[in-house]
Amino acid sequence: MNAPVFQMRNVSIDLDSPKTPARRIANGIDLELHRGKTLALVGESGCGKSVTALSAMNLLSAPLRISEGSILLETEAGREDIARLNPSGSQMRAIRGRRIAMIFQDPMTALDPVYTVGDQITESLCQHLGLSRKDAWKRAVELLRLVGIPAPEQRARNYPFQLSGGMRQRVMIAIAIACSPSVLIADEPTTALDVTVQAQILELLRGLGEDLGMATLLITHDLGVVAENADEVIVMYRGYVVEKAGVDALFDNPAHPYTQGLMASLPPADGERIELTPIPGQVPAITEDIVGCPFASRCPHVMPKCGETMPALGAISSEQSVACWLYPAAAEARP
Amino acid sequence: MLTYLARRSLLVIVTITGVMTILFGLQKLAGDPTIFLLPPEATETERLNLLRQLGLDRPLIIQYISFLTNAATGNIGLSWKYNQPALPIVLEAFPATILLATSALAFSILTAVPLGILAALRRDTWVDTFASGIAVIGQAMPVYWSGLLFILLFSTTLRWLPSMGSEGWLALILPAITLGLNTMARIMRITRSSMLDVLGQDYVRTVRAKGIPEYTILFKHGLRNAAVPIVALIGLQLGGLLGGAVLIETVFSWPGVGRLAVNAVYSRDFPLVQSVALMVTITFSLVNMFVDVLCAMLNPQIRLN
Repeated sequence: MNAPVFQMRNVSIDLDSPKTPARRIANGIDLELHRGKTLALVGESGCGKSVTALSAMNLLSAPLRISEGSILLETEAGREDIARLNPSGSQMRAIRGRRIAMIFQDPMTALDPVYTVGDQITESLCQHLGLSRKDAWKRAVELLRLVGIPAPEQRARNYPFQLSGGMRQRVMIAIAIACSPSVLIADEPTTALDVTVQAQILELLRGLGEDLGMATLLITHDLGVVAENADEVIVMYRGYVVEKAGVDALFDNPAHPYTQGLMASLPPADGERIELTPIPGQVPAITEDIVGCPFASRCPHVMPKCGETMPALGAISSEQSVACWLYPAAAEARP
Repeated sequence: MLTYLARRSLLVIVTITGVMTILFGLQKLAGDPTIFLLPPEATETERLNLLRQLGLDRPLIIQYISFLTNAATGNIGLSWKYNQPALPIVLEAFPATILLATSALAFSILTAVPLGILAALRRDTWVDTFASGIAVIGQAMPVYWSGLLFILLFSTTLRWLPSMGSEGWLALILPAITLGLNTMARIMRITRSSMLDVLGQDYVRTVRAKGIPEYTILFKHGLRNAAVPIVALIGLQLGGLLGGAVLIETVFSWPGVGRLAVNAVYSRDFPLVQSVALMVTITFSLVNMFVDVLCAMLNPQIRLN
């Protein structure tokens, strides 16, 4: 595989607090994004997915911050570590919306209610590409057409409240792809939408990613979405990457007990009625101090060692790594 | 939008009619005016003559209807004290009050909005604490008291500003600031909370993710969205300003309708009091209508429905 356009290397995110010591929300995240490919980041609520997504844009704001690691972006000018850039500085602004773009979860609230959607698309075109208002508007209409909005000339003059949820998410996608970014981060882009609309939006995203050669980071809690859209998958649990695999390998052979638990709680695709097996317990609260593996309290295979140290991610095959003591050949304690 | 305007104008007329009805009722509650209009030694015949002269011998409903129809043509009757049409007296004093109220409003908006924005941006810092301190003082001090304190400090002790009269711009400063203080506090607080609310919205994060500079985010998206509650409050505050003017004009001897109203009440000059109330009602209703239309313009969801 060719060189990644975007890499997170050992990125940790801390939540600062004036009274208690900083809490680690994400621990040593490693991920790579490749042109035209989709990496899915999976996990349940509170596992650190969205924070990781925001950190990829260097959009974290106090009390959250990137405490270590590097976030490398390939540009024509070479490789840049955006974790080193001032989050509110002009260098970071020149990257946001231009090189890396983001689609947010809830299209109902993610668009400014007092401006037309056309105006909101032109904003980044004028900012990054220096287009005139007139040219930017033409381009905005083109983009609306590209994301499958009928009668884009009229729709561009609409306000967000005049559009349906699916339409608004298409507008969000149009905004994101406006400046042809090389990296697209989609944070639960279909969670707030109807199921029928979900499929259309995901198909649109996948098509655009391939056509425009964008590397996509798809954040979701829906394994069905992963199976359909991802090339590679990262499973997160309580701020740790617990498994990383090609999409087929993950579904054929889920290695981490948490991944296995997620699979067991999925209804089978053939519609057969079976009893679903939920994972017992809950994700430990962020305020809880945990020694060792955070999944130990819910794990059916828990061993004494799990309560002592968290293993690092180790390869169990050419396209699958797992962080679990069940795989002693691969596992080693985290540094 | 046109039907909205029409509906809103109708509401203004209803409001004014309602206020006039209350004024009419109040006059009746105040009792027989001939008793204090005539000297104590006046005869019963003189009293009945005056009653007929004032039209107070007619049935109540006729009095009410003629009061309303006269008012509609701008005729509130003769001022009992000055013995000339009451409304023109009020109209003559009105510009001074409008000048005072708009100066107070301008002072409060120009200080409150920047301070509110700053307090929102520098939340929980000394700027924020300073701003909320000003807000507490501004809202807690009654205008007649803060007015006297200002006179004591700036006129008597420091001798910087005149304490009374309406000669020149300097004379306007103290009354305008005193009158605007309370409004400033309110506008500042709503600006702060409204900005904080808007800046925490998802769409602001979207704009930031587009790589748009912070000042554009602040003014184009932030202030524009925060403006609706601020503008609505400013409209409401103008009522408070006109009411506050009654006290302020007395404290600073400002020759406006406020002082006129106070004097008219002292001399039980009912047509004059009614004329002041009518003018204030009309002004307040029109300003509120204007503000409502402005809010509708600011919000596309109202504008387009």
